[in-house]
Amino acid sequence: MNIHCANCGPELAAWAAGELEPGLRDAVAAHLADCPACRRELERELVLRSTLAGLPSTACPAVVVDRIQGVITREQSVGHRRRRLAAGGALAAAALAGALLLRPGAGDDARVPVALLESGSAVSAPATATPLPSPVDPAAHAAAVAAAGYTPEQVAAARRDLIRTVALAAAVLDRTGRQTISDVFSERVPAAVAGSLRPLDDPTRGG
Amino acid sequence: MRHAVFNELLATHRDRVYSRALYSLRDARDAEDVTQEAFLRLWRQGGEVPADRVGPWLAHVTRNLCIDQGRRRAAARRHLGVADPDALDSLPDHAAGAEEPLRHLDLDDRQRQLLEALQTLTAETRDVMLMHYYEGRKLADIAASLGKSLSAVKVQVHRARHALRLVLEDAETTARRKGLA
Repeated sequence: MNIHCANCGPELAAWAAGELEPGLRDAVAAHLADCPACRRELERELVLRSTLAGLPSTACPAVVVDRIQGVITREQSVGHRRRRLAAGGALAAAALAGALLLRPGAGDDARVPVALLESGSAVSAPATATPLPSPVDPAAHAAAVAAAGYTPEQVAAARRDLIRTVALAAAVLDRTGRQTISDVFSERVPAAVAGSLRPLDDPTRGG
Repeated sequence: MRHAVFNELLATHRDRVYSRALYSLRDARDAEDVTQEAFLRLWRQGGEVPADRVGPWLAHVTRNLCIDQGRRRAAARRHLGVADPDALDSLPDHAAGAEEPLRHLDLDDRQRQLLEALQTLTAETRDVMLMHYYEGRKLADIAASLGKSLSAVKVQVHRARHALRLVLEDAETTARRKGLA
């Protein structure tokens, strides 16, 4: 490449940075040796390079770090709460549905959700845990199923789906989560179901 | 990404990111906002940025955030009644009498003058200059990241140097005098 003043200037930054391929680098060097104007331009390039390269790294203020950590902590907290609420909500809903749908004591896995939650090994838990007292009268449950028009096969399929869902959800919980859900099954759900089945003293008050 | 890993990256890169934003924007509060946003974006990547690419990734994000911040500032100035939008880039970023944003920094006269002079360049050209001379990025890399040809970036740097020549010649003369003294 033939280097002259007009095309030497744009190459000087690359030349000073050592980014030119050998042929072009030599051509620029040869031109610089003969051209005082381009040598002055090179001096300006070197001043520019050393000045900007020498800019100090300025300490990031501590308040910025605090703000970053604060946002992350809040996001983690919100994310954690959401995950717990999602898991807890799904399990509580499943628990309530299970309490209403499953006929306690009638099937070999009627109490499996509780067994799974209490065992700590949800998916592989045996279905032989001691059944808890049922909040629903078996006869009333059978009557409700019949009145709703469900077949025994539909009830069995719904029970299997429910057990699988609860088992999968329980598998992602830690010990505290499982204990919380177990408490919901054993205490709050029975109380809520029993309360909801009690005839209202005053129908206008709601329930 | 684990919090401990993120904290290490934050400690390693925060000064560089903040400095880059400060030299580009010349406004401490804007630089703080850019730094915060850059690291929050890194956190939200959740470890998808390879460890050896975090530095370039942050530089890229910081550059884009600085451009966005510059645009917001330009829009704000436009709303303040600047008639000629083409004149925006030549306007000072701070109102007369405002606190000199770099006065707390440990800069020599030449650095201070050159940073002032950089503000007379367009935002993109200023960015190219900082990427190449301050961050040490190769011209070819800069061209690739901007979607330009290498020749175009070389010419851009050449023209910028020409625009800064008075400051550079002054600095050169001063240095020569000090050398003779």
